[in-house]
Amino acid sequence: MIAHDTIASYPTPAIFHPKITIGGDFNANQTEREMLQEPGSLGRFNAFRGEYLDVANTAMHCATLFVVDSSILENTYDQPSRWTLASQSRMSPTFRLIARLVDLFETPENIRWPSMTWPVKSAFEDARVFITKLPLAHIPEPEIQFADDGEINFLWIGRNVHIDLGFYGTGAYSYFGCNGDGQEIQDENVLVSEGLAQSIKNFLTA
Amino acid sequence: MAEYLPYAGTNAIQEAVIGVHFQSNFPSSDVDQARSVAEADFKAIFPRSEDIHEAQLKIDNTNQETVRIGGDRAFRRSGFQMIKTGSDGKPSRVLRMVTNLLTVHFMEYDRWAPTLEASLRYILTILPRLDLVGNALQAFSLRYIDRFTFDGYPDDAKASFLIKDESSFVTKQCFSAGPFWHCHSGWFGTLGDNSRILNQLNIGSSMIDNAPTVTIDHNMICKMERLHNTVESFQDSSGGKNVDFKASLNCLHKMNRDTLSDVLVEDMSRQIGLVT
Repeated sequence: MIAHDTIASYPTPAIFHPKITIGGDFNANQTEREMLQEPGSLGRFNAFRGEYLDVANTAMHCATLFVVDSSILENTYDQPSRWTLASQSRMSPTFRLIARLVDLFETPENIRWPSMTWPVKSAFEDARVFITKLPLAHIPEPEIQFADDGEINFLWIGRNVHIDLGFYGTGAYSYFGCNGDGQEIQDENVLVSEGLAQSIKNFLTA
Repeated sequence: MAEYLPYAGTNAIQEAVIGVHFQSNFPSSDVDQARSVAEADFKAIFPRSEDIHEAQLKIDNTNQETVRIGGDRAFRRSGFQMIKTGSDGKPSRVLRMVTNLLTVHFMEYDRWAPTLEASLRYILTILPRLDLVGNALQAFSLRYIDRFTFDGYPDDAKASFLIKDESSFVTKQCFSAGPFWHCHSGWFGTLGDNSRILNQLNIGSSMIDNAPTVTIDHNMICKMERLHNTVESFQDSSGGKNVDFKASLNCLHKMNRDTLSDVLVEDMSRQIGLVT
């Protein structure tokens, strides 16, 4: 029997065997042809180890597919093993925020509000650096908005918290926050290079 | 200037997986026992619980531009998983028991210490409910998947922006290959007296979410020097004599840290906290 996964095949020579196990997610009601045509249903395969499968939700079922002849598959090598959940593509929060910032900053002039002062490039750069210093595995992603006076705002608005943080391009940021318990936090001229203020992190993770 | 961005700001880890591995697939009685204790103890953490089904198909290449699919098409229950979802509705933590593996997956990884503590709690709660005499523990593992997204024009991406050119883990060919490349390698390390650790390190650059993305997938599997039929012996000496399970996982964690420090350029190592 070919092992389903990385571990069971270790340390026998099976992990180097030319037969390759691949994994895929598909709906139990799909026909085999639909399974094969659906992007990702065959998954990727990995020559170094056997592969397994993932399930996306309760409506999905798992399947282990044993490939007899690997030549029918495109060799892509570009994904982690299907055994991991990372293969269910989840966009990088860092990249998503920076893409949002770039999209806003590059808004064509003819569709900007006429009365609005557009943020200067250094404000954009400060905001960009700040994003790379956010502990995004630990806190929610902020909304990004531009104020009328050239400030770039990061907003966290939840059921129990409201935080407004802004950049003008001075290498520093200011913020104000409050929560449902009536607590307030605020500061000005916090260096962007210092990243997220601890008081904000405490608010967001409380 | 365009650069590679760690997956989650100060952290590049997209997923961390801690697992224990058994000699053979779980009997359904073990799956039922484990699920019942996991649902009783961890329902608040993992609100969603579901079966995992499995089927096996055989695919033959007929050499006539078609494939022939055979095998038993019936699904059978092979395990279960419990899921905690994040604010985006996607799994943020998963406890999974399937085939011969009991694993904990962290998709919102913060720090090693709480990750280790949580994993030990889940695993050591379930292990006593399993029939280890009939299906012994044979290995354990730690796996990290780090991801870095390039935020410039795709054609401008290159390995040297992220990877040390003197790294002993990445072939020189990748540095002249343009935006897309891969380098897969594996080697054995040691733990304690006789336990061997298989390192599988797959590094590659591909298009993910319309951006060149480097994925570093490092899997470390410790094949224990002997099988363990009791929780106590596994817990006390999984890494060899006097090397307990927790110390063994700490050792694997350090192994990954050392490997990544060798692979990544200094600035990135500093940015994600590998070096100060």
